Amino acid sequence: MQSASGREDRKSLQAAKSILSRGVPGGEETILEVRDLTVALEVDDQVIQPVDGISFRLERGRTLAVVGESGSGKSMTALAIVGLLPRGLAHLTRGQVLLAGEDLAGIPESELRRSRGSSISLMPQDPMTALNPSLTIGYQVMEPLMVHEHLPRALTRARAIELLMRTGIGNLPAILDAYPHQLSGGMRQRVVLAMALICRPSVLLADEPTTALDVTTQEQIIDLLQDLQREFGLSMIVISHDLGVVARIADHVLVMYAGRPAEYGSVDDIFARPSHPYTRGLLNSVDFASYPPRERLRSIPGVPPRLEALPSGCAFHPRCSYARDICREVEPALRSAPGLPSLTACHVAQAGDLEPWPSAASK
Amino acid sequence: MAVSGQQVERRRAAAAAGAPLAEAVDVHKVFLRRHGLVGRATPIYAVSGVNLTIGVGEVLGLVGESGCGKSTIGRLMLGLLPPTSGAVYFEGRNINNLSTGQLKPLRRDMQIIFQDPLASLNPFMSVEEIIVEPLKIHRATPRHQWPLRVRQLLDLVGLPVGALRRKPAEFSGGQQQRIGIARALALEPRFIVADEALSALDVSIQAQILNLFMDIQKELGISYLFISHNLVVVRHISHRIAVMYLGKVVETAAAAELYLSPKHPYTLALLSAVPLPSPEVERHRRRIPLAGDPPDPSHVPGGCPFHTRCWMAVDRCSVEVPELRQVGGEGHYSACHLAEQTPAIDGASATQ
Repeated sequence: MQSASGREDRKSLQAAKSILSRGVPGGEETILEVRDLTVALEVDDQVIQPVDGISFRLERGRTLAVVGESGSGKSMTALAIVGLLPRGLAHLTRGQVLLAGEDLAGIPESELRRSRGSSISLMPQDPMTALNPSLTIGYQVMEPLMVHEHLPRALTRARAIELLMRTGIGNLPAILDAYPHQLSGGMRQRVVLAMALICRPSVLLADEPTTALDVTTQEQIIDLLQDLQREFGLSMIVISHDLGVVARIADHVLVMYAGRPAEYGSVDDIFARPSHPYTRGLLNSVDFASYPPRERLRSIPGVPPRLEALPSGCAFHPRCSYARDICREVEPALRSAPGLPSLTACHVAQAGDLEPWPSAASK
Repeated sequence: MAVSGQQVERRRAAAAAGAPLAEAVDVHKVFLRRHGLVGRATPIYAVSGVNLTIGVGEVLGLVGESGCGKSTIGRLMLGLLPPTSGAVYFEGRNINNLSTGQLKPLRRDMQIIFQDPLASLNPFMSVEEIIVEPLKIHRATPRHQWPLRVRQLLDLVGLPVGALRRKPAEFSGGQQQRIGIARALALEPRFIVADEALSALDVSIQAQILNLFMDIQKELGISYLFISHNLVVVRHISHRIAVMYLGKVVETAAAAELYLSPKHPYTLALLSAVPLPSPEVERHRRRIPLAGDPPDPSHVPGGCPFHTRCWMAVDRCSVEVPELRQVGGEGHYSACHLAEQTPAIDGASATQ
């Protein structure tokens, strides 16, 4: 870790610990800690940072949601955590990924392979591309088990059937011989979930687990994730842009903007007392309950910046109605401040100058 | 945007007469799916006996799960697909009987905006060429007025003049959708089908484009068929909503009434499944989970198409097809034998 940002970061983490342990029953044990994660990516001879100084803690049995728009670096954060950054294009330049105390960022690929899938597992974004179209469902679900545990084939098959049944897939065992294209979107998502869970990992990273699905199927998948979480004592990181899904599933929320942390706190604080103008803008964009029908929404003006041309200071300042001189000059650190319920990377919020947020009762 | 006095008059007259602008009457659409080169084709019942009316200046929302036939309806309403049976009317004319030449002037009045803005824009054309193309094809505006018209349109959809010479791929998703909207508005249409036009956009951009859709609608009095799987967005923009399941409209009502007192168990289940952006509400909501996926439209169940997933179903539902009938307030129709017994929606979900 770099000294200056490292110090800042440790301060943030201490503050995070005090905030996150408050009022959250049971969630004391940290299973995964990410410190100052920074990824460099080469695009057209230019080096950009799709992930820039991301830190958080995941408690055992809890769910952290990472929220952001496209290009905010949320999927890249997930890939960096499991060590699956596109080789030759992107690499970790800073930071640690501490899984039960062991730094995954520092260990060689051969060792990482052992933890990937068995202690930490990724459920990738698009089930159709995550599945190999030319291999059977059965083979693909059993493969991680064959690689990691070298069990006899009959036993592997029994475990695959058991787990597929648990994820709500019918027509077993015939489905083991089916190919991905023969399944509906919801079924494919269940298969990918079974693949991610077959080696019984303690941490599951789910990248947009419900994005391409209908609301009814989405509901089934969320219910399933929550049931399996309770059953297996899973700790989850859910990456999503859908604030409804986040409100339903998360205990803690990290809001990202342009690769950087914007706000980090408990789900209740983020939704009821948001203290970053970007978080507030996102909520205004989806909280239809607070508008009369057919009225204009208070949307965020402009578009997210391109990472090749990040604005100076706070990356959000060109879209922010609160922006002042310091926002254009100094990049704000994610930290706590008097009166703020969450950690917030906003100069104006830290100075206590944001307007009060309307409480749910007044809406 | 400039709307000629004559056009305004025409619109007023139609509105006063109460005649629908676009209407589908008992429309069916069957696709044939072939398996390989030989062998028999399986019929897929995409749309089965749908009646819809869209009034002048009205926004009709169309919701349902993927595969329910909502996009097919959109294409049928524009005459982009011929119905297998039934008819589609625009301003009282049956558009299915018209020749291509007769249909062309009507095309000016009917436009579509697609889900994937990039795929619907020619990557080799500049923004200017894309917006001018409909003017060219329809000889709607004299050539010397094109630059002015293009600028008006850019202004209307919130794109900078600097965008004119650039290609679609140089823009973000939200701006690409603005280009698609500008193209659709070029001919001053009276009816626009928006097919999942917000679904591919980021949250903050979705709100901007939804605002744009509402501004344009209010300013120009255009009618929309707004197709989306996002129920909260549809409720916000629509006057009236139709819910589809397996090719049929199962419920239709004024937007507020549909969300406050749904009278079809499928509508209720859909509404209860939408996750709302409030952890407090989410913790205390009652949900109605639906098992499984919608059935394959090539094997539509007998009786009520929803009975295989319905928690309220009784014996009658698997035998007798429920017809759309009036329930509750004026214009509220439900195709459910047990419409009156549909439980009230839980308060938290209703107010959201």
